[in-house]
Amino acid sequence: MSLIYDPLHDCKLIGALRAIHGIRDSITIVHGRTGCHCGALLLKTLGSDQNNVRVVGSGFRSSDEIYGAEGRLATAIQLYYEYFKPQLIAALNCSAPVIMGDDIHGVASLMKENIPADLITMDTGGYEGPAWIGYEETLAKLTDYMIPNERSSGKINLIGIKTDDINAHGDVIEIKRMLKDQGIEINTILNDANFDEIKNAPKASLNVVLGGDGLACAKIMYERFDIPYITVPYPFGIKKSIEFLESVANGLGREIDTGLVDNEVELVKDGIERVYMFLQPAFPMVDHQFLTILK
Amino acid sequence: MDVETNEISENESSFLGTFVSTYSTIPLHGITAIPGKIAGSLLVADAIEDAVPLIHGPVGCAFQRKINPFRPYSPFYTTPCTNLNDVDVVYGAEEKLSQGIVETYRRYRPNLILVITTCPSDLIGDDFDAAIRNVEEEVNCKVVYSTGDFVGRSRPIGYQDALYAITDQMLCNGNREVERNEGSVNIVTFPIHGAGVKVAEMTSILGDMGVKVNKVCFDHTRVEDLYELKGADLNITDYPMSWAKLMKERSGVEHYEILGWDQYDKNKDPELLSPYGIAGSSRVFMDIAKLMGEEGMAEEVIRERRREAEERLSVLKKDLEGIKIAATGGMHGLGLGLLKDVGVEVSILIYRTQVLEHRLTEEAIEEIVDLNLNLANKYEFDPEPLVNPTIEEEIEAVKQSGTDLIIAPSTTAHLYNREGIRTFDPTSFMLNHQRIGFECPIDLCLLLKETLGTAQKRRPLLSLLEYDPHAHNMTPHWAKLSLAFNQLRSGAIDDRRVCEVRKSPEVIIDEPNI
Repeated sequence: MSLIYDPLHDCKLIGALRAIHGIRDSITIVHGRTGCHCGALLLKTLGSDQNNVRVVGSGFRSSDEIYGAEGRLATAIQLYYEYFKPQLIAALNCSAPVIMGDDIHGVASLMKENIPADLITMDTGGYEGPAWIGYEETLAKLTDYMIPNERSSGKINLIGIKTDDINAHGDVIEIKRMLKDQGIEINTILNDANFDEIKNAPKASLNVVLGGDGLACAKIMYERFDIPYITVPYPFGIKKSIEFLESVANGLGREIDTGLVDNEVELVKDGIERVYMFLQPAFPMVDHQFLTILK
Repeated sequence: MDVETNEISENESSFLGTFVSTYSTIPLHGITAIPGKIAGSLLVADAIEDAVPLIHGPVGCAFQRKINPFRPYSPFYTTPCTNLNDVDVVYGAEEKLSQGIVETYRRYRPNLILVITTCPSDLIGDDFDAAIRNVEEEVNCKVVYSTGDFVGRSRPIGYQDALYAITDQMLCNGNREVERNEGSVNIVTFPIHGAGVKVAEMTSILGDMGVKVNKVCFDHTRVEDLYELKGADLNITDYPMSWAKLMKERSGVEHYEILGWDQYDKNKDPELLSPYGIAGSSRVFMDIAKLMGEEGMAEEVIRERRREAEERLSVLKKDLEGIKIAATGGMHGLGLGLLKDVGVEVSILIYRTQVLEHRLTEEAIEEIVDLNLNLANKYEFDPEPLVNPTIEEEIEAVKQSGTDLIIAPSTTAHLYNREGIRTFDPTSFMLNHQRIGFECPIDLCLLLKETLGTAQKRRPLLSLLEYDPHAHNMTPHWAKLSLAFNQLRSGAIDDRRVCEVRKSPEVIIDEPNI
């Protein structure tokens, strides 16, 4: 394999940020050089709800590479708490402070007394791995904050949602609707939830891992809270949507209501009838995803 | 590349203009974040057609930086990297860099590889120079490395540093002689401004003055063009550039800055920071002529070109007589010189110093305010100064003074439009029209007339949102992001205690709170 390549994926920092940013009452402090913070902020600004971007920097400067920047991080935690009053503050340690040896975990434990918010600290140096590792580790880390709770039957957690994925908001609305029609309620979406909802994730009877993202979290929740998990495909298209519903229902020990599914397919058929002439020349391109759009 | 006109159709230009304006509203640069050195260096690599960057760092430093913070609408598509991992951080990555240079050459066949180092490779102490020398003979192109450490505090660091590195390691390292192009200058502008089009008039006037233009950068610039830069007698840049000073030291090429910061420091003449418009441009052309020993011919050419422009303006600006305008003060507002040229009256001068308060001393802020007022007086304007007014105070002042139009960017225009006040976008003007020459005020005159003749917008959708009472261009959420960022930054930059800033929590900055 060639050593040099033009990467098509991001680093651990961005994976962790994407996971944390899905917690609506959180703030993410990028503890690193200005470029890491600016890049992350720009990414969220271009791809997320622009009035809900919660990515901040720690004021790290080049001379801190010699003297350390733990003090700056402490100040940043305090300042951002005062400004935003979040329930969760995540400090993500970037390459430079990780190599320098900044003890951000120590900073967080000392700050706990002053800050009435939960603090998560993670080493997310770019060289530590790709984005998906950051996402997995962050979801796994969140299990430390979950509260063992009495299960609600018929409720599931949806794991693996990234709020800045294209059409993520619409996908969540549609998945909720599909599940609700089948009498299945969502307890918590990891991560598209308040921090309290994350803490209460163990109330669910089943963890549903979408596309395999967040599997580490599901495994830990199984070990720690005895919540079973299933891995399902994204419900894009008719076939995958049915597969998704069947898997979830089976996981809860139920059968799906096939009558409802037939109605859904009928709706798709109605949509196709309205525009079928335009679709005929494009037949090779008309896959299930396209049919879903027609709905 | 020699001077040429960009061939962009009107439709493409309009589409691009909208794109550029849209992305220019993202409040990044010094407001809520600062792009890192990699982005600045990539800007240089991207501006040289046959150069390729090689990012010596982890994948994130390459993938994440594909989003260009200076031009988010135009990503950096090619960003190969050495993919540093944790083993490299422990054992060093010089071999990986050498191998990376060879592979980059084989894959892209560039004439220049610009190695951009990153936090991890800087911190582990890789010897970049040695890694490059090891493979110099295996690649048939120049290899230059930029660390961000060559130019001290010159901003933007990545941009300045990459150009300095190219000058130091490639252009002026004594390895290649270049034929002199006597009596010529280079015009080197920031590559976001569409250099070819913007310097067309300047090139024409310089030509009439007997001054040849050797190279215009960055406009389809190639490595060979860069080599030929030192054939000229003078480098003309927008603002002080470290590479130009180095080229003077090593190759004797003089340099001249259109924004005369160094000269301003000596005599505090505010006009030195106002190079646009008829007076400003005349001064710039005369300065260049003096440096090139062409004063005699230049005076005549400038007088003639100026006369032509003033003649056209005298007709065009009749419709603007008596028009009152509220202008924005500071360092980036629409130049008062240009407003003087088009014959309007500046009735109000608005200053926003909130963000500056975190970075500059009170004296420096006062100087900026005075600078604008002095310039206004010089141009015989008598504006009412408003320092950090609320939107209501601004609107009240506009109505009382009978002001016809406010110079306001698209981020705040809707706040005035909903009150029935017309606005003119200075950002769009700066990006698309502002340039040295005598035609720039004519453009402004036409655009102002067009704005004044357009139906007023009374219910802009953007006015449905809530905005911060002080930072009018931001919602309260972003205003908080900005305030907090600047509060932290002031501690990070100046090492001074800051507390009790407007609306901000009383957190002591720069003292470890643990």
